[in-house]
Amino acid sequence: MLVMAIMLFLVNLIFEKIIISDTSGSGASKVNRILEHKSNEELVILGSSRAEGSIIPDSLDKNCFNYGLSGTQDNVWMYFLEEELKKNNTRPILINFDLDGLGYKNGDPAYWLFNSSNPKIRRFIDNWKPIYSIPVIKHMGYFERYIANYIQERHSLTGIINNGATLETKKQNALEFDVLVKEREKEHLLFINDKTLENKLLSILQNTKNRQIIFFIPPYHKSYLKTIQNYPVALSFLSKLDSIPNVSVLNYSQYKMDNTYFYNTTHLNYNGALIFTKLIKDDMTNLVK
Amino acid sequence: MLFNSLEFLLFFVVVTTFYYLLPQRFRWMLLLSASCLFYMYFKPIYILILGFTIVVDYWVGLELEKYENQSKRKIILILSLIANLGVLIVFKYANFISDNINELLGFSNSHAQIPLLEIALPIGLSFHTFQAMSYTIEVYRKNQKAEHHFGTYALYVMFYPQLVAGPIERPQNILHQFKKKIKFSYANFKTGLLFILIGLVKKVVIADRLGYYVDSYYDNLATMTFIPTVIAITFYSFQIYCDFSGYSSIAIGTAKCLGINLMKNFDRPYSASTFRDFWKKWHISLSSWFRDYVFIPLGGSRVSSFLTNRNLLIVFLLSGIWHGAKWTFVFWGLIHAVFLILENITISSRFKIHNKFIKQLFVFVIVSIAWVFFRSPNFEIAYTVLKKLISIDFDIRIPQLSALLSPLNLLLSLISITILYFIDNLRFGKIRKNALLFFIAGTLLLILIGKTNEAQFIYFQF
Repeated sequence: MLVMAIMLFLVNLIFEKIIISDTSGSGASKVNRILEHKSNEELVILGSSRAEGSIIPDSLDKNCFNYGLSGTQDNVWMYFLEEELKKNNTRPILINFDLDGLGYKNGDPAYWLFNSSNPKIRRFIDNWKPIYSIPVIKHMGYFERYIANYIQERHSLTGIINNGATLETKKQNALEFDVLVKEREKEHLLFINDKTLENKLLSILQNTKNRQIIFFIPPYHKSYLKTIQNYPVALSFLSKLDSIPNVSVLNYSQYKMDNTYFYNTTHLNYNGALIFTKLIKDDMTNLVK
Repeated sequence: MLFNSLEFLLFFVVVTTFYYLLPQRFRWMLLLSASCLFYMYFKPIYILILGFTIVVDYWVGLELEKYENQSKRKIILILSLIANLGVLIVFKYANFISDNINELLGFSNSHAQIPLLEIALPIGLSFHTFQAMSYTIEVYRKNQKAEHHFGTYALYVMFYPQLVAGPIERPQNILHQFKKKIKFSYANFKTGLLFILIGLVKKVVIADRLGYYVDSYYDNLATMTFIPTVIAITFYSFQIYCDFSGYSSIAIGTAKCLGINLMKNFDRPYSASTFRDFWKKWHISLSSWFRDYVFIPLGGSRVSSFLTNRNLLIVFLLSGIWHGAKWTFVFWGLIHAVFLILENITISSRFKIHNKFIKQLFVFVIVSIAWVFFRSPNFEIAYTVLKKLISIDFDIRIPQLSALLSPLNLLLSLISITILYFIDNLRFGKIRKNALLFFIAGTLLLILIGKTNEAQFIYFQF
């Protein structure tokens, strides 16, 4: 039992201190960072996987970090926004806005387990179990994710990690992309805001005086855009946001980009992100006071 | 509750502890109550079905013992078989039969349709039905005395370690064990825990890991090419083996901790060099059930070779349909029947392969291809998979090879198959001798690379 306890302690040490903490692209590391990092006039990007994969921090600004979290929705970046606003930082905050409206999705429990002792973080773990309180055991089933992120960051097998951004470099062939487009075309999407989240967001924005908030909508693949049944409703909400002092909206959803700049019908690939980052950088120069 | 869940861990600890604290005469009550609780965890109301067949077969056993008249005994046995098979047919095959009749009616332009029943399949129905039938048949054959104690008989059918997915026990093996005075034995307990650990490693580390790849392959079938098809088919062969043998191992280990010995259900089936050999090593409790209660009564291999082959065909078509109410399962059974028959026909042929490895590989390849019909939800998907097998499109990009999952998952899958090789080829005596090392290694494997999505065991659907 002692041998087992020592081995588990070492495993915990290796994973938490080295593998998890030292991987900027991993969700666990980002959650830890938003709680611990001092910010230091850093330009911050929040959002879902569409944030994570569309802006290259080093190309946007010399002091920039991408907190985009794959598989999450607006409740998560709103929490990140609240944490970021507590910091002593006057740089703008860039937030990716998805055209399915404000909704809830916590993402992979692996993002939150590292900080599961924090009661504010605990609510983001779906199907909370008492086992999530036990060191080492709480990571059971997720060690592989941590190792995969660690290797990915160091060896760029199928993508590039850059200050939190994960950019896909693997080439999709035309036939495979066509299959994805056909599947996408079968879908119907409605822009619907959860009222609680909408009120919460408006309250945060209206009370934020010292930092500029810039909502951006990266280019949508034309097949995805076609699925949105009530696009004018989305536009109307974006106008509402844009009318709030200190808030701007940069809508590139209809910016035309070839299939070759997309990794799939939802996300840009690395080449697409390069173009988009330059685009948003140029537009930000006019916006940022 | 699933064996690979925290609830089961708690359940096992509580039941085993009280088992040894209670006097022998009360243990059947504890085990029966625990088994009822175990079964009702899935869907409580279905315990009534189990209760019905238990009452019928208990009564049948007593009646069979009462009468010497063969015709009377036969009628009583038939009553039991009707009750058991009737429940099985209603809950498992009624909609399948109705569906097929409706299709035929459709072909004949009839507008009449048989309505489908909205009922779920009770968990483990096929297993405990066969186990119950085994009892009444053995009593009829006078190989087993009728069990007079209702609680002991009920426990025979419901004994929780093997209730939902076997091994399908024979009354001669297990009934007497419930009445034996069992003292706590450290050796038995250690052996039991090792079996449980091996089963968990097979399920959580190997089967669920391989299943993750296989599921991704089938979810993205349209874009998959030759190499991931070969990998997925191979992985599924190991997944289903580890899933099922893992369950059996946990069942055997759990029972062993209680001092009860269940039969071996798997014996390294992929080392078989003939199809006949494969069926002596795969799901031994089911194949021996079909041998003793279907194949041999039909004449077995004591009749002409034509009739022997006919008997084989019947057994494997029935085995196919036992696994599931779909034509794909029947076709799976047919493939095995065909190759067993071919093996019989060519048994005295001069042109035989003598190399053991090639024979093992051949059997493995055919068995794996047959599993495609097991895994695929319909013939269309199975056909798509097999078509990709002959497409010879050697796309070796990492996303293809890893079925669009992380390359690390592919590596861990290959490592898990290597772990399986060691588990299956190490003598159990050696494992027992180094029990502590295996406990530590097994626990670390479970924690570090186990898939913890508490995936259900594949054979639960049967």
